[in-house]
Amino acid sequence: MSALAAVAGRELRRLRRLPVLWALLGPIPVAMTLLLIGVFAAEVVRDLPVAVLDLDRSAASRTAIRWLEATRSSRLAGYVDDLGAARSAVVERQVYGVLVVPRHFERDLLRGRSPHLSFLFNEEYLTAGGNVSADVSRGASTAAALLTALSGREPAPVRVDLRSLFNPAASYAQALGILLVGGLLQVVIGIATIYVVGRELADGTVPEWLKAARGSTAAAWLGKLAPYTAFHCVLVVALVGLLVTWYGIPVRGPAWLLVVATAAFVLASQALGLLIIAWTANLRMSLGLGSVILGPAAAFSGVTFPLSAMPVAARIWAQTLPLTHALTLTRAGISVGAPETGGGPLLALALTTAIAIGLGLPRLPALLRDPVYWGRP
Amino acid sequence: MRALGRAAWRTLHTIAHEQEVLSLLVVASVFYSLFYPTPYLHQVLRDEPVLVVDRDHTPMSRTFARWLDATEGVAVAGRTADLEAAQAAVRAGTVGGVVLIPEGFERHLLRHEPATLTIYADGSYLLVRNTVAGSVNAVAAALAAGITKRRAPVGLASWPLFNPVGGYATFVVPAVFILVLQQTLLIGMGTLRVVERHRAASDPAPVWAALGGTVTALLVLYLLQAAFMFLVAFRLYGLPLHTELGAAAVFLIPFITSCTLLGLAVGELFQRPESSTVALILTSVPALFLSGISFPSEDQAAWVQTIALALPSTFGIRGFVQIGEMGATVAEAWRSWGALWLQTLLYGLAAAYLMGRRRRVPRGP
Repeated sequence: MSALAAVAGRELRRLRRLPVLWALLGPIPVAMTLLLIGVFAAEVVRDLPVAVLDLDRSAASRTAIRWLEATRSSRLAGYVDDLGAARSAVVERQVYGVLVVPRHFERDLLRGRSPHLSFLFNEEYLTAGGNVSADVSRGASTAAALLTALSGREPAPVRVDLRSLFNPAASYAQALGILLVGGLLQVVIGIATIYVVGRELADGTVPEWLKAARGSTAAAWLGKLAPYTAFHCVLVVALVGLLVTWYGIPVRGPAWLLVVATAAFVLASQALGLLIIAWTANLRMSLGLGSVILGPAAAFSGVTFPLSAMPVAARIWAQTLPLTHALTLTRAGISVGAPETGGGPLLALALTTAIAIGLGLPRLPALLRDPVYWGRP
Repeated sequence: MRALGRAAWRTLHTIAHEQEVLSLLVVASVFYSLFYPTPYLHQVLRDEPVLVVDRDHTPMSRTFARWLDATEGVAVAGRTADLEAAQAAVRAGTVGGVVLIPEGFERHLLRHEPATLTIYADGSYLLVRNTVAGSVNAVAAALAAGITKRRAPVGLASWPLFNPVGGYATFVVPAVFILVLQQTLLIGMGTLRVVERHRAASDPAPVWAALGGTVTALLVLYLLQAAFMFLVAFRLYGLPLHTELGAAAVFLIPFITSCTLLGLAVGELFQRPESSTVALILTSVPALFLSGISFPSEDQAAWVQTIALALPSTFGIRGFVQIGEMGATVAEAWRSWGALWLQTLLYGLAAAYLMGRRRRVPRGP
C-alpha cells in the first residue's frame, strides 16, 4: 500500500515539472468547453439573414413576405433586384436564402391560378440552410392561410405537428454540446495516459519510478495511473456539469448511472491510451497514433450523422471507441432518462477496458525493466 | 534571394529527414483525407425506422403509411395502436420517431377540414428528427394535393443550392480538410521549430530569409497536399468540387502562409518536439465550429465570433467552401482572402519578432 502511495506522490511532484501536461489536464479543456458553450449561445438557429426578390411589387406580394419576420430562424435582411444579385448575396454569405415573388403574383392570386413563391437556400451550410428552409415552408403555409382572405380559397388541409422528445426546443447545445465535450474529454484522458507513461520512457526515468514502487510492477502501474483515473472522473463531471448547468439541460437519469458511466468511460479511455503506449513504447509515435484514433472520434459517434447510415467499416470502428458508448450512456442518463438502455453500452465499455488492458498487460513488466525501451524519443 | 532558397531547401531537408516532422507535415493530412470522410460516404440518412400509430384505420391512413414507407428518408418499421409503446421504442432508441394518425383523419380530409398529424421524433439526434419531419411533411403535402380539388392559393417551391441532395459529406468534408491542413501545419511547425532550434547552433540566414524560406517550402508541400485532398480523395469518394485548380490555389496561398507563420510563432512556446501535439490537439473541434460551417456564426456569442477572427481556419473554410463548393470566384471571396493576407502580415511580424528575439538572447542550457 505504501509503495502505491509513494508512486502516486512521485507522480504529483512530477506533474509540476510538466507544464504541457498540466495545460492538457486543466486550462485547455476548460477553455475549449467555454468556447463550445459560446458557440451554441443561441441554442437553436435564429434570425439568420434572408433576402427577398420581389418581382411583383404589389400589395399581395408585400403580404406574401411579411411572415418572414415571424419565422424563428430567419429575418428579412433586405431586398435584391434580380437573380444575379440574389446569387451573389448567397455566395458571399450575406444571406442564407432568397425568397422570390414571381411577376404577376397578385394578378394570378386574384384569378385563382395558385402562383408559386420560390425559396432558394444555401444547402452547403446544411444546418443553417435546413433550418431556414423548414421554417420558411411552415411560414408559407401560414401565409397561404392569410392570403385565403384575399383569394377566397381554402388552405392545405394536412397539418404536421412536430414534437421533439427529450429535447423539446431541438437545442443544438443539448444535441451537440455533450458530444463535443465528450470528444474533448476522451482526447484528454487518452493523450494524458500516453504522455505520463511515454515521458518516463523517453526521459529514461523508469528505474526511479520502479524504485518508488519498491520493485512491484503492479504498484508502479496502479500508483501511476490511479490518481489520473480519479482526476479524470472529476474533470468529466465538472465539464459535462458545466455544460448541462449552463444550458439548463435536464438530467433525467438516476445519479448512480451517471457515476458508473463516468468511471466506465474514464477507464476505457485510459485503457486505450495504455494499450497504445505499451505497444509502441515510443512517446511521439504513440501521441501521433493517439491523435489519429481519438481526434476524429466525434465524427464516428453517430450523434451528428447516425451510425445506421455509415458504411460497415466505419460502424465497426465506432464500436471500438469509448466515446460512442459513452454518448449512448449520456442519452440514457441525461437527456432521455432511460437507465434500462444503459446495460449494453456499460458492458461495451467494460469489454473495451478488459480487452485493451488484456492486450497491453504482457508488455507492462518489460517496459519497467528492459532498458531497450528507455530513452527513445 | 539565394539565402531564401537555401533556407527553403534546409526546411525541406529537415522535414524529409526527421521522421516525426515528416509524419506531421506530410503523412498526417494524407491519412486524414482518406480516413475522415468514411462515416459520411453515404451522404444522407436512408430508411430511418419509424412507427406509425394508426387510430384511423381507413384507406387514407393506410395510403399515408405506405407512401411514408416509400420515402427515401424513412421506413415504416411497424404499425401499432399503442402510442405509449411506440414512444417507449423511441426512448429505447430502436426507432427514430413515431407518427400519430388521429381518429377521423380521412373523414376530416374528405370534408376539407384541417387534420393534424403528430410526429414524436427523437430530439437527441437532430439529423434523425429533421429527416423524419421532412419525410412526413412531404407525404402530407402530396396527400393533401391529391385530395383537394381546389389548389392552395399560394405554393412554395424550395430550391436547395450548391448541395442539392443535402449530403452530409459534401457539407462537412471540405471544411474538415481545410481544418486538417491548418492543424497539421500548426502542430507540425511547432515540432519543426523545436527540432531546428535544437540543431542549428548558429543560423546563418537573416530572419527574413529564414521565414521566407520556411514559408516557401511549406507552401509547396501544402499545395501538393491540398491537391491530393481535393483531387485524389475527393474523386475517390465522389465529392463535388466546382472550381478550377488555379482559383483554389490562389485562394489557398495566403491560408497556408498564415498557418505556417502562426505555427512558427506558436512554436516558440514549446521546448520539446511533442509538446505542440499535446497542447494543440484539443483545438481542432472548436476551431471547426468557430468557422460557422456546422452552426451559424451569427448565432454564436459575440466574444466567440471575435476569437474566430484570429484563426486562419475561419476564413480558410468560409472562402474555400465559397470557391470549391459554391462556385464563387476569388474576387467574390475577397473578404476571406483579404483577411487571410492580413493574418499573414500580422503573424509574419509576430514570427519575425519572436525569431529575432530568440537569436539575440544567448541560448539557454
